[in-house]
Amino acid sequence: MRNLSADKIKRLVALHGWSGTILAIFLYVVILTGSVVVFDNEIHEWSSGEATHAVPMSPGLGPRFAAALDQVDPAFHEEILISQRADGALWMRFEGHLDEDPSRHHGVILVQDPSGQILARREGVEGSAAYSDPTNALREFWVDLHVRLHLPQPWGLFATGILGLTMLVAAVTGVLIHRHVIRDLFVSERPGKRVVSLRDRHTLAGVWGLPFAIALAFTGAFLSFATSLGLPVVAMVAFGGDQQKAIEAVLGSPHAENAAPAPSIDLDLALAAASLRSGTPTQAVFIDHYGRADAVIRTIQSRAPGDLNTQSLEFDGESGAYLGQRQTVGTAPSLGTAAVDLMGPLHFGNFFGLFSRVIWVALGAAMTYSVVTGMQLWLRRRADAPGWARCEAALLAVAWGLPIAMAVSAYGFFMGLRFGAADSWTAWGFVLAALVALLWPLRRSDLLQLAAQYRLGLGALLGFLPIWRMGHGGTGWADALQSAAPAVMAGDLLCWMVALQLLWPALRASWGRLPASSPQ
Amino acid sequence: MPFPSFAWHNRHPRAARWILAGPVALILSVLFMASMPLILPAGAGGVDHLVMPVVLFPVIWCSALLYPVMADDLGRAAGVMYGLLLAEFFIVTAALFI
Repeated sequence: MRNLSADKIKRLVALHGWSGTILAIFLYVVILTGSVVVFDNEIHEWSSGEATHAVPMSPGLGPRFAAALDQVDPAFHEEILISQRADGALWMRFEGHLDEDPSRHHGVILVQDPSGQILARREGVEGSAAYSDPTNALREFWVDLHVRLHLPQPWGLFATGILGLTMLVAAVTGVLIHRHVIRDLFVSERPGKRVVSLRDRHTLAGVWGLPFAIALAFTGAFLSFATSLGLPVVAMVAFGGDQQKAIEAVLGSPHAENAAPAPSIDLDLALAAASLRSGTPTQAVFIDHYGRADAVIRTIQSRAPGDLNTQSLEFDGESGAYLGQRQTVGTAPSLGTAAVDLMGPLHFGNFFGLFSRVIWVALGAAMTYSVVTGMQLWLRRRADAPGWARCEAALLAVAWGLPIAMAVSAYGFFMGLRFGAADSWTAWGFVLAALVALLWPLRRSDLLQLAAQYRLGLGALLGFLPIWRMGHGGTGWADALQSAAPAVMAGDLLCWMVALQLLWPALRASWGRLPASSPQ
Repeated sequence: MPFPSFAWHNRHPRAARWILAGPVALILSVLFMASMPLILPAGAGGVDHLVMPVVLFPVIWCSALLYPVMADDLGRAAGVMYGLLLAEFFIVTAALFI
């Protein structure tokens, strides 16, 4: 931006620095965990050892679903969700409202293998330990850390929304202060490990990640603020404070109630009709009020080539008549629908399968690096000031402490899974490791040595994690591949690859110290 | 030429920028989200007026924050921001109480 005066640039640099610095630690937590949970389905598959990811539903599921229905109290037929796992098992959730609170769901979750045998049954109130899947604890812990920093609602969403906005401000000011954005794309680090060298590294990572940072910050702030702030504000002004009315206006009113008993159509017929209309197979099915005259079947179709989002089709549950395509928001395609439809794919990077998600992880890593180098740059410039001098060690502790704590939370998860307390062991593993990592610099002042110790620690933790997983009853590679769960092997290999990368300098140094072997 | 009644902002640029880019920008963007459902058209899907202010909220907040930082004439920036604030406040108050 050549037209900006020196004064403006100075102010923008200050805003860029402060916006990145004040909340940098939390921003780092959100960006790093966000880069990891791009693969949340694979994390679940790796940690559970089962083929948990959903695949297009195959024909002939009707009799299996009917058999499962017989095993569930009709009170839970109010809201049903069905999907098929890669190993052929049907995952079914049956829910109903058994008390006064309409938002409290009671339900049953069944996992049924292709022969009709029930592999797992969980029953209880939504959110309770009995109802939640213990093998999902690690994924949920990491996703919660990214989405709301484990703070209570709505404060967690406010916090991550503000972080999204902070990142947006840092990214936009970054664009404005860079005079030569194109040249900065190819900047090479100046030698000497000086402040300018650090700046070159920050510039390179930051400029490559700029469009991505803007898109992620914008969509992330929207996703955080939409329900925590946007919905209450809009409901207050346009619906007299009635949030339920606001939700119905945005998502569509529920169909007219008719509790008269009526047989619902066969699941296979609904799947065939949905695939015929959309041209793509069905990924999941929702059934409201099964066995009643007002039953509605809603299918989620697989993403068609070239489409950003999936289609959702609605059918009358009794007659099978096609009711129409359900929009994400509103009753017909419009500007608002298009805008909301863009948010998910842009934030999650899931619009082009594995390929786009790998790119999202790579750009997320660039952003993480840019936040850390930005903080280092900020601190180096203030290295002579007494208050700031110790902050560099603290930054090192946070930068390495988070991945170390995440790795230890995985250790805690596998241990906890054996004792039926995966949730608490995952959390305690994280907290204890974070405390140790944060207190580690107290007795050490040499930053290079400190960084090497953290690096060694994380490398060793990741290197041993697959062995720990298998040692605690985790699925072996052969079994995992046989049951269509390739993420198990991929996760272990990734742990070892990152561990090798982290341990490589130490291994090379130790090899260099070995005495040369004599021919005799 | 600075707005006469907002000359204080030009005399105290640092404090004015903190106030305008901080609390004023936040209130302005929240009131934007509250007032726009009453002005924008509903669109074909019947939800554009409810959804677009929420979608645009981060952009509006970011713009309202950057404007006083980049503005040389803070009196003018204060005039524009307080003017918008007043208009939004009037729309929301009218919807709630009139």
